Amino acid sequence: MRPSEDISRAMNEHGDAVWRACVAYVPAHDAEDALQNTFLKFAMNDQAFSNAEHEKAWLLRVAINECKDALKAARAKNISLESRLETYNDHLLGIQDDSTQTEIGVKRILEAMDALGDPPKTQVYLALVEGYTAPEISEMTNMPENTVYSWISRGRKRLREVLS
Amino acid sequence: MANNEEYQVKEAIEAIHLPDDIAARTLASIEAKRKQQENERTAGLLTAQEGIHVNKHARQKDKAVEESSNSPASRHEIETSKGPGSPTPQKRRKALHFTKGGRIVAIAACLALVACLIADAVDFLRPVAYVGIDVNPSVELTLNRFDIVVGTRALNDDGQRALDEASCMWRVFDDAARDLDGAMRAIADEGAVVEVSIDCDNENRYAALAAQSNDCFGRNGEAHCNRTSAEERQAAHNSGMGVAKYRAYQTLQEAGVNISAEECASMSMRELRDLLAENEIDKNEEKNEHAGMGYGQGRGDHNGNGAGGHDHGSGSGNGNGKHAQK
Repeated sequence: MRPSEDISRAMNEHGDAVWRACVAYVPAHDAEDALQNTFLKFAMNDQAFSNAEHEKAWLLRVAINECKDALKAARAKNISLESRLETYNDHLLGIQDDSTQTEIGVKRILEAMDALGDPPKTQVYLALVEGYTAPEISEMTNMPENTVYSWISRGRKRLREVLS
Repeated sequence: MANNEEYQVKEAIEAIHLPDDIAARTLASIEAKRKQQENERTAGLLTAQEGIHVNKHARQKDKAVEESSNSPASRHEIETSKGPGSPTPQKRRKALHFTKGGRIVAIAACLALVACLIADAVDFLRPVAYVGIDVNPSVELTLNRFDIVVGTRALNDDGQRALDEASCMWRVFDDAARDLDGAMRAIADEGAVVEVSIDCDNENRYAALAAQSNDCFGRNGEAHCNRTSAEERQAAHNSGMGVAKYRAYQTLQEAGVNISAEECASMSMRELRDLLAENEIDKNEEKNEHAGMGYGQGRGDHNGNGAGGHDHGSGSGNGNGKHAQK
């Protein structure tokens, strides 16, 4: 198991990115579980990372997979999308700017991302928010590079339609 | 950023930060797990040490018994000192042996178990529904009674690519269909139409599969679901295409359009639907055809602009025969 200092450092460096990925997929209370499982896996995994970016990519991939598992479980329990979306209204997201404007913006953006379906949600999220390139996303999601390009292009188009 | 909307997305999501209390709870849970592991490891070491000690003690005791049992007198003493609750090694060995009758019963039980396992395996692999999907990649999934994909079949090269990418085997239909939809739409052109044809004898199973198909394939674009029969499926495969394309091919032929089966097989469902529309083939005509097939797919929430009839929702017809209207 990794030393506590190593885990705290990773939490400080990548906690925000992992948390954003989690709340983009699942409601805040599920996002906390996904975040905990992600960092627990990080703690249990003794693999050395070549650099901070490699570490961040690993954490994001694990977090997204955790969220997808949570969504699958929710589907199996037949939890409606509406009831899950309702939880965007809570203050658990960790929005530091308390203005209502931002909160409405975040809710709207998260709903629009949800409306994309997956794919292309993961590809669009990693490209737009985290700034990964298609070859990097291809490696992270085990998807052929051309397919990633195709999904990013379609996802962007659909996102523009939903938001405009 | 490429445009205002994309900038909005980035800005809004970057406003989210990991709350301190959640970070603290996460670190605390990891530390608790670390402690638990350390305790388990300590307990494990103690158990292992105790085990070594007990084994050593037992070995010494056995050695002492062996040495003292070399004389006949002491052997008698040992035999008499053992109560009914402590079987001798011979008795223990005997306990592992069956009597002749018992052996036959044991063999019979094993054979019955093997037969049950084989029967279960056969039952598990027995197909109860076939789901054909035509976009231009055309594939067919074979489902067992648990709605698990137990067989896949690519009806063209693109179909094989989609199956390679989605890896549907041994997965629940719902999950496999979602990945397959993604893989097929990535291969197909923009605005692709997905036609799902389900061959299934059980009404309830058909309704459930149709609902799942509409949900999975209708999420990312236009999708239609309809029912087919084993005969029609076989005829479609003999012509080298999926059921939906075969139906379109037949409709075009009946309308007098000069088109070969090979041409139809190479066209996408979008192109076929456009061709049907160009030739002004009334969708009611096709609707009647489906009503005649007795699978009642003419009603529902269809709002596409192609040759209709492949509508969402379950139907109510009960007729027999593929061309009952003829």
